[in-house]
Amino acid sequence: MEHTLTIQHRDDDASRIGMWLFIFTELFLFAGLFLVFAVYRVKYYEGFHLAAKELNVTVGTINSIILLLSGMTMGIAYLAIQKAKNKLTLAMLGITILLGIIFLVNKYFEWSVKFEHGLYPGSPELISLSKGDVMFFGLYFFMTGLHALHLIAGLILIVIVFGAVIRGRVHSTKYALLENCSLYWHLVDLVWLFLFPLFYLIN
Amino acid sequence: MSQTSVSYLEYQGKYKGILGWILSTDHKRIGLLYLYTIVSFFLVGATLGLLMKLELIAPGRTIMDAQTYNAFFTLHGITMIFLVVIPGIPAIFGNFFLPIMIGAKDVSFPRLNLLSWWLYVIGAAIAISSQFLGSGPPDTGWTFYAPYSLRVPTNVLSAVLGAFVLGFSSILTGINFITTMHRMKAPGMKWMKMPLFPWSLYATGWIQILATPIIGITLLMIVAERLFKIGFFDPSLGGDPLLYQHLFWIYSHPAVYIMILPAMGVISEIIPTFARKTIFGYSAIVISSFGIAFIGYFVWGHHMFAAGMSARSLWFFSLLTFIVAIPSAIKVFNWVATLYKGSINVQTPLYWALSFIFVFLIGGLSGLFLGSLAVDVHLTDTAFVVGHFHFIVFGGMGYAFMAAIHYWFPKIYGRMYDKSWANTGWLIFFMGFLALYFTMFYLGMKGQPRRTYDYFEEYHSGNIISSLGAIVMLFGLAIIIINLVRSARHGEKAPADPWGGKTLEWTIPSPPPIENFEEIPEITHDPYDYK
Amino acid sequence: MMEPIKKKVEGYRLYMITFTVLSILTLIAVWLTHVRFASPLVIGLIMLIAAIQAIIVLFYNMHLKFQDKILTIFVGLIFSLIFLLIIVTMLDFVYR
Repeated sequence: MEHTLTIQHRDDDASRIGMWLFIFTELFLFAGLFLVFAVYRVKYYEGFHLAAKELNVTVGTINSIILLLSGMTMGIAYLAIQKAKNKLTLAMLGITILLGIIFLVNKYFEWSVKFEHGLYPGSPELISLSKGDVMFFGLYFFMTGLHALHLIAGLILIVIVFGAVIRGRVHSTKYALLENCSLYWHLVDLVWLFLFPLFYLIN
Repeated sequence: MSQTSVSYLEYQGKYKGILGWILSTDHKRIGLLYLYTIVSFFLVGATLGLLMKLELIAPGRTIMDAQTYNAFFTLHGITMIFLVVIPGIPAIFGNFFLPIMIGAKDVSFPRLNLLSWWLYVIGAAIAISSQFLGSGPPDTGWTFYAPYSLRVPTNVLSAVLGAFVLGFSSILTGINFITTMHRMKAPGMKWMKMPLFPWSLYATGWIQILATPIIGITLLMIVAERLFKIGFFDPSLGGDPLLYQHLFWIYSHPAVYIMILPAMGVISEIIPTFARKTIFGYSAIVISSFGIAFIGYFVWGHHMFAAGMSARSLWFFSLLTFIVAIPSAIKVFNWVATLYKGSINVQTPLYWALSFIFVFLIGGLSGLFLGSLAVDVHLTDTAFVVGHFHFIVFGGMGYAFMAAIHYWFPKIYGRMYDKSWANTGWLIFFMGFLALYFTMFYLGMKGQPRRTYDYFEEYHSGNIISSLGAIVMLFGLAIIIINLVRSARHGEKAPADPWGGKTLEWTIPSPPPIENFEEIPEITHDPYDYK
Repeated sequence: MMEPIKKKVEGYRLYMITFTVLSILTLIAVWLTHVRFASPLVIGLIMLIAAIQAIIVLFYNMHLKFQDKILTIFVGLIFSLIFLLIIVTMLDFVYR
């Protein structure tokens, strides 16, 4: 054999479909948690009501807006690459990364306040409170934690895309990677759109 | 010989030797990788099963103590469910034949496909490591029921993490197959001209994508509970153990359909080939697959009838359990109707397919006993349940697997096995199987509990029959495996179409060339076009 | 078949508009918590807002509107399935 035989084909539509299917999987991952949330909210109605007062709505609102803004910059990056405006794409991806990091920093401060008050799973203070409190904060940390992990994964993906745009591997006629990255980023956005009211608002 | 006509077995790519296999992105090689790993794990699981049956041959301690027995049935369950039966048919035969049957050169994401296999191996390694690392092998059963799984000191963590990684592998395979069927069907192959095995993989793929993440998150919650004491399922912290059972079965019941749908797909391929007749009710079989997939999503509660659910849930789940039997029955009617007035060619795969229908029928009907609320109270956690799900899972998926390997063996290896040995193996296996599991129905009705290493003297005679059945069945299995392994090397050369099949895989040489088709075929007729 | 219809996506303004609408909806949801309506009504309204936001994100930010219809159907089925899943499970916990 003089050369290796590789099956050359590129199918952007296939990769889009694959990405959507993956997003469906992710939605069900969170659906399991929303199910747990619904069950315990019914079971510990009062406890959830009181525990939710510990959360800072202002910080939550700011984080929501930040995430929505990052969704906008991501969308603009997606359009810009199609119009071959690589500089604009890179700028928008950069801003998206920055906004994502700001979100995480806010989250970090929010979490550390809870830790200072002893409101974390397994802490003696939390166990001395009502079972509703234990469940609320257990869910709060688990769900926002998992969301933050997804956000970090999204950030890593954006960094990869950023590099790919610089090296010219993603460009105006080959942008499936950026498109899938954008889909993933909006999934993170989408999940937060439900997490925010459930934890901060409806109690 | 031009490069594209080299068989996939002989093809030399970028890597040589073993690397040419474990780094290959060729769907056929990946299918065989799965075949070898899955069969190895199956032999491990079968050995554990045999040892358990030997323990049960007499009351009291026979060859192992209670703790060892508990560890054995846990590992037997984890291996058989997560490592063998769930990936089984889709990962082996789906990988190998799905692209060929729809006239494609490979799956949509070949590298993702290889990643799935690697994730499978890694997940299996983590799950198996639970036996040797930490504080003793887990003894929770493969269900990991809370709160026991949260508190027991044994090594539950790595078993759970292993299952989580395996779930990921399964999801990626599902995504790959669905995308392949959407994008890579040969020109002219409309959806309703697709053969039934791909169709069953399509329905399976959706369950893999939509049910597996639920167990993923549930297992993560178990991990979080054990590490951080969050208390989701721990009653002392306000959690609800029944919620764990809900979440677990939301996946694990549809998982039964991940196992059985591809099996039904295999049978739907074999029956028309050996009846030399068009499949009866093609669209009914397709639609019933989706009926099973959809209704099967909402019957999980029937695993919890005796656990203390609300009365409304009880009747809801019982009703749906009865309804889900309908689409399965439709398939059975279709297969039997296909055989009717066919010119039947009796070969080993047909023996397996017919015995599949027989054991599947018994398994399915015994499921209806368990699905009726009053009877279930008596039968819950008895040997009856064990008999039922072995008839369905082993009798269903296992028999279809055997049917598939005997059907496609000449295509995979380009050689034919010794038919008389294959038939002998089947007969011995079948007899052993019936003795082994049929007695469990009787023992269960008499009240022998499952998952115990000991029992009262009154169950002794039944257990002797059952254990002897296990020995006979494994003897038959040995014949089958030795015959196949021998024939893969020394069997006589097989023609391209030894059975007179009409689907696309029989139009290409055996073994298939590296790119499957010299030219992508144009599809002009229905998949089972017997005149 | 899932063959996307490629309409040329309009300009950057689309994303600015969706961002503005989504932000305003979020602010309305926050404002609603301070209003003294009956609490089930407020909860219903807030969840309705979340659903509307999700639809906007799916259709415009995730370009569902510009893809083949079958994808929209899939997404609809996915969300219905999640909804059914929660309802069926609650059948146990609400009536126990």
